[in-house]
Formats: sequence, C-alpha cells, structure tokens
Amino acid sequence: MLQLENVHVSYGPIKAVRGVSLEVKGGEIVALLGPNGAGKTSLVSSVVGLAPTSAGKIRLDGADITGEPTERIVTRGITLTPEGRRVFADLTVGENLQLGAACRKDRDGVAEDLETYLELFPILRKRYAARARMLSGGEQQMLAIARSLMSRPKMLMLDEPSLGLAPRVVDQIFELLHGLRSKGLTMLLVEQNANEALDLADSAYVIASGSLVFGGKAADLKASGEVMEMYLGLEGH
Amino acid sequence: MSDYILQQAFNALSVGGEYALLALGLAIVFSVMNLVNFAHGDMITVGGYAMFLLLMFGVRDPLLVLPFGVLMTVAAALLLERIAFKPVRNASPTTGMLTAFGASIVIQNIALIFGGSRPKAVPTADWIASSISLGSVQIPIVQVLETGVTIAAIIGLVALLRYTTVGLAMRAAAKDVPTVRLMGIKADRVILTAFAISGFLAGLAGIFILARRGAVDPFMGFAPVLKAFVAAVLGGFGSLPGAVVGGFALGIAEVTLQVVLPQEIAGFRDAIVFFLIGVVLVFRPQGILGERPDFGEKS
Amino acid sequence: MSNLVQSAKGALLLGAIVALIAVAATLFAEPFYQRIVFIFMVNLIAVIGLQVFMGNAGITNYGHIAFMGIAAYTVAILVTPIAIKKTALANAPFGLAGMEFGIWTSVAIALLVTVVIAFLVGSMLVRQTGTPASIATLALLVIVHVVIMNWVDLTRGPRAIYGVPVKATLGWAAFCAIAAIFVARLFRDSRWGLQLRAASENIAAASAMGVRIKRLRLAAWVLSAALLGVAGVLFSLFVGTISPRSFYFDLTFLTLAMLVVGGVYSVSGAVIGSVVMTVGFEITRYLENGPSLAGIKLPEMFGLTGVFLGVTIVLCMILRPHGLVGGDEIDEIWRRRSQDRAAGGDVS
Repeated sequence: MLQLENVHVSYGPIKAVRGVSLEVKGGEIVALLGPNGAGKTSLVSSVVGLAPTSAGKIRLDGADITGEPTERIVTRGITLTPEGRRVFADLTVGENLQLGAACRKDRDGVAEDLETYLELFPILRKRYAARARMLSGGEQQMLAIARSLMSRPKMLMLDEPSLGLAPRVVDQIFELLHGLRSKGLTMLLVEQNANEALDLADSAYVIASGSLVFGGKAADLKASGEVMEMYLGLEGH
Repeated sequence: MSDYILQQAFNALSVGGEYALLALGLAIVFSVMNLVNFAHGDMITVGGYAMFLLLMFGVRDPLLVLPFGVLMTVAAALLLERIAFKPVRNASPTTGMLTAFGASIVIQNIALIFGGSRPKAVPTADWIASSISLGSVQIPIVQVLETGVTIAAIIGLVALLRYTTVGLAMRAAAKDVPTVRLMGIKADRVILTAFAISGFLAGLAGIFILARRGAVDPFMGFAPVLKAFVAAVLGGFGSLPGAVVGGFALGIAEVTLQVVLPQEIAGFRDAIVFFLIGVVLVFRPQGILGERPDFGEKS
Repeated sequence: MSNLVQSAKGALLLGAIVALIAVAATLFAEPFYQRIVFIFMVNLIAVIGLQVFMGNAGITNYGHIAFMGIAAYTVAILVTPIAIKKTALANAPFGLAGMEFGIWTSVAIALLVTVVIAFLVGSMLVRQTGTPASIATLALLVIVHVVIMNWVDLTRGPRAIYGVPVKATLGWAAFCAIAAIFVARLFRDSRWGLQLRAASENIAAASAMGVRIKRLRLAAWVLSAALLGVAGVLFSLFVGTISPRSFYFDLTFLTLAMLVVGGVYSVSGAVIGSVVMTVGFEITRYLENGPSLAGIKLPEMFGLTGVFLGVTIVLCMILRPHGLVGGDEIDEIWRRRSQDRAAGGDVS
C-alpha cells in the first residue's frame, strides 16, 4: 500500500533521514522502531507532507505522492496521529471528532463512524462536550486516534501513541490497537516501546541516525538479540 | 439631562460597535495566520469607492448599493490575500506586517490618482439622516442600525465559529495549522475564509463610516482602522472577545471625553484617549482579555 | 575592542559614500539638485535613527517621525525672530512670543526636549513587545500629530510656521549624517547592541535577560529619537517653513520604505536604501507632475510616488524580505568573501 524509496528528509543543512526504503502492505501492521532522534518522526511526517522530502519517492497505492500538500495526501486515505497527540485543546471532544471527518462528504457515513468510535472509546462519549484540554493524557491520545479514524483512512500512521503515558494506560492503548488490527486496518506504528509494538506488528524496521539498520519480520527482530540490544536497549528473546 | 446621557450612551454604543467590527476583522486574520493587516481599512476604501461609483451611475436603491459595497470589500480582501499576503505566508510577522503596510499605501495612492485627494460627496437617502424617538429621546437611525448590525454580526460570527466545520477549523488553526491540515482541511481555504469574514465585517463597518461622513476619500478606511488597532491592543491582541471589548471600550472612552472635555481642548480628544490607553497598558501589558505570555504557543 | 575598530572602519566606508555625494553636489549640482541632496541627508539621518531602534530591538517602529516633528517645531519656535513671532505666534505660551534664542541654544534645547519626551514615552513603550509595541508607536505618531494640530497658540495648528532662519547648510547636513552613521554603527556592534539583537532573535534569551533587555531597548529608543531630533532640527533650519503635514504619514512611509528596502538589520542597509529610494522617489515625482517626454505630455498623476513606495515595499518583502543588503554590514560581507577566497586559494 505504502512504499518509500530511498527517502531523504532535510531541514536546511540538517539531515534527519538519509535514504530510507520501506514498504507497508495492505492489511499489515508495521512497527518503526529506533532510539530518540533517529528520524522516525521526520520520516512519517514526510509521508504526509509535513516534513520536506529532499530526495526519494513516496508512493501510496502506486501513485507518487512525494511533495503533495498534506491535505491532499490525507484525502487519498492515509493519515497520521501526530506525536504529542496535538488535540485541539480549546475545542470540545465532539468538535475534535467533527474536524477529523472534515474532508468527508458522506454525512451518513460520518454519523455511523462517530457512533462506532464512541462505542469503541466509551470515555469519549462520556466527555463528549468537554474541552479537550480537560482530558487526561491517555484520554487525549484516544481522542487523537479516534479523530484520525474519523477520516476513514485506508492506512493509519501513529507516532509514539504511548509516549508519556502511565503503564496501565499504555496497555489500554495497545489493546485498542489490537482491536483495530482485527478490523483489518493497515498501520504504521512508530514506537519506543519495542516489545509491545513487536507483539502487535507483522513486520518491523529499525532506524538509527536517519538510516535503516533492520527490516524484516517482527518475529525475526525479536529473535535477533543484537539489534534489539544495540538499537533498542532491550534484551532479545 | 438623563435624555442627554441616554443619547450619548447610544452614540458610544454605535461608535464602539464600529471599532469592534473592525477590530474583530483584524483579530480573525491575525489569529489564523499571524498577520497584522494594516491594509484592512483600505478594503473599506475600496468598498466605499465601489458604492460611490454605483451611485454615480444612477443606481440609488440601497438594496443594491449596500450589498455591492460589502461584496467589493470582501473581494478586495480576497484579492489582497492572493496578490500580497500569500507569497509571505510563511515569513516572519514583521515581513507580513510591512507587506500589509505597503499594500495599504498602494491602495490609498491608487485612490488618490483616480479620485483626487478631496472628499467626494455621496448622496445618501434622507431616511439615513433621520432619527427615531424613544420616549422623549431622539436617536439617529444610523446609530440604532449600527448597534444592531454589530450585535447581529457578533452573534453570527460566534455561531459560525462554533457550529460550522470551517469555523471550527479556524479556531483550531489559530493554535496549530499543521494538525488542521492533517484533518484533510486545506489551509488555503481556512485562510481565505478568514479574509472573507474580515472583509465582510469591514464592509458592514464601511457602510456606516460612509453614512456618517457622507463622502469618500482615499483615507476613509485607514483612519478608523488605526483606532481599531489600538482597540484590539487594548482588548488583547489576537483575542476575538478582546477585540469586541476593546472596541466598545474605545468607543465609550471617546464619547465620554467628547462630553466632558471643555471646548478648548476637545481637539485633543484622540491624543488623550490614546494616552489613557497607553497608561492602561502600562499596568496590564497584555490588554484587558489577552493571555500572557503567548510566546511560541502557536506551532 | 578590535570589534569596535572594525565597525569604525565600516562606518568610515559608508561615511565616505555620503561625503562623496555631498562634495559632488556642492561642486557640480544646480541649486535644485542641491536641495534634493540636502533633503536626502535629512532623510538619511532619520532612516539611520529608525535603524538604531528597529534593527537592534527588532520592533517595527511607525512613530519615529513624531520625534523629528517635535524637534523641528521646538527649534522653530525658539529660533524664529520676535518680529516674525508678532504676527505668526503672538499668543505663544510660556512667554515664548517675546523670546528669541540663539541658534545653538535653540538646537540644544530642541534636542533635549526630544530626548526627554522619548525617555518618558519609551519607559511606557518597552513594556510591550512585538505587534502591540508597533501599534503603540503608531499611536504615538497620531498623538503628536493631534497635539501639533490643536495647540494652535504654540504651533499655529494646521497652518505653517514660517520665517525660521535658514541656517543649515549642506555641509552641516552631511557632517551630521556621517556622525549618525558612526553612532549607529558603534551602537550596533557594541556589547549593548549585540545583546539587544541576540534578544530580539531569541525569545528565550530575551526573557532570561528580563529587566536588562527593557533598559537596553529604552537606550536604543532614546538614541534613535535623538538622531531623529537632529534630522528634524536640520529640516526646520533649512526649509524655513514647517507644517504638521511634513511630519506625518508621508514621511513615515518614505523613511520606512528606505530602511526596509535597504535592509533593517544593518546601517549599510539604511544608507543604501536611502540612496536607492531617493533616486526612485525623485524619478517618480518627476513623472507624477506630468512632464513632457519625447514630445508627449504625460498626465499629472498625484499619488504615483505613493504607489511607487508601496509597490517597492511589497515586492521587497516578497522577494527579499531582509532588504537589498541582507542581515550583515557590507564591510562584513566583503571581509567574509575575501576570507572565503583566500581559504579557497589555499585548498586548490
């Protein structure tokens, strides 16, 4: 579904990503792992056009989307739940969700999806009229994910959904992602929390200092003690 | 005596309403794209000349002339965004402000070239100059209309910002443009909407400015917007409720001074009002409703 | 210290350009053009004054011309002979109608009044930052204009004050312009200037410096006003007739355009912008009056100069937002180039 060919991302003289190629197939869940500052956020931001792709090609379903404006890429059916959640703090939960569906014309479908996700995230129904700034970190993360889903994407990218959340809440978030997986949603998951991510993912990539150091099956990565230890600071299984 | 006070109160409301309309237009554009639009008043000038031309061609029906003026003000706002502001959209606020300043000079001087510097009288309908009686009090109809239109416009704006998707997007964009784009919303559309709204509010205010002055000249919009800027700073720059509060506060202050100042120093009114506002800002630098500090809040 | 020597050298270079213009005008130009060169010098001082505040404090200033007006009016009121005051300023307050001061006393008092007012206004202003501060400067321009227009006994209101002795010469104007260049350049490269510029680029640094940054901003503001005061005094003592219109938006637009086009962040920008815009402005003004070119009579188009100024500002902001010169002084740019060339030579 999504193919990256030798993608470079630079901010002026600073090179954040140096030639990464990867592929996400339809229905698959891919984990993108790596230490802090490895370029993970830059890479997913470049896919949706929020970071400048200085070289390389990004394809969605075969169509070249490199350099297209963010809003057009999103309407093609791929979206990103950004790092740090970025919910609209002054808007209510309901208004946030409404904006998530802003690019859609099918009113009935939107109402239907809203019902689905309020079912899936009961806390959002409970706090529907509250301003997003009043929500806890975990609740805001759920809102951010639900808001992304409201655009009915073919593929969802999540940037560090567990960042800064209590372990119990992290478990909730991953439970939810497992639920989305069972619905067949294609996902690219950026995580520091490697173990949890690999339990969920079909395949995985590891980047460090802007370059790819591993690409393959999630299970293989788990088995490779070396990579796990060197780049992710974890004991392999 | 109380009749006089009631009359002046209405006067203050209508003057304040005019400033509030203008300050709101400035605040909307500023909140969405961090642009200090010095050319805001010159859109009014464009609308004013448009109405003047229509009247010269013999079209006298206010139901044609007034909407045409508002429409042309909106068109001027949108055109200005395309020509001057879009190219500097990602530049620093100073660059944007100076661009607007330059655009303002251009519009004033084009009006000067084609219209001359002398005010040109605009024939207004008689009913505009008439008054309505409220008990024993005579209130000019312009003031009643202006106050009413201001209140209606504020209610309409609140509704738009609360209940429409583009309104929500504008509120969201005031804090976080990239995430708004992630929703598949065109940043361009949000910005154009902000300009259209600011142009519409300016157009409404322009009608009343024209009605009071009874003439068009190249600076007819620039001068009132100068005051609206001060009102916006007083209320808290970039805050929409602040713009309304600042506008009315300025209107009330002006009319109050007009009433209490002795004849000899009445001419100093504007200087005194600005000075008093400066003193208020010494004690409350963020303005009446402003947040402080808002450094880097926008990402 | 070598830093200041370097900036003095840079100022010398800019000063030489100004001196050259003045000498050439004195030797070769007809009175009409000499007059243009004099006004150019006055505007140049005003633009340099504007640069001292805008370039270092990073706050767009729309109120600078107010100080030029204050100084111009003060010196005119003091120095005008009693005989003329009897008809022009018969009701002047503080007994000024019956007083007449010498030229140097008048100039000194005018500059003092300007600086004191600038200090008082600046103490209020430095509490604001960014856009609100800019709007406050705009309000200042309006306040001063309203006062001049309405304090009829002192200023003749909207009518002109005439009969100011014409004492200023092109030599004096050029001298003051060169001195202004040195002052502005040394301030820019002094510790204060560096700190101010660092703070205007970095909000975190600014808030860490807190009170100190406000004091520095005030210092730049007062220095800026003093230079504008010099410009105002020269204007008054050269033209001999002043009116409120001379110190309002037209001159604000012109001087701001000069600085912005040249480049706000350097004194070189102020000088080069003033030269370029003066040439452009005078050409447009010639066209504005409807001259005959190649036998064709062009129509009069009052407002053409304004269109020129506005269009230049907009184009400059779109194409070259840091102005013709950019962020650095020309001597700094040259030095870097020659260093690069020397370094390049070593490698190959």
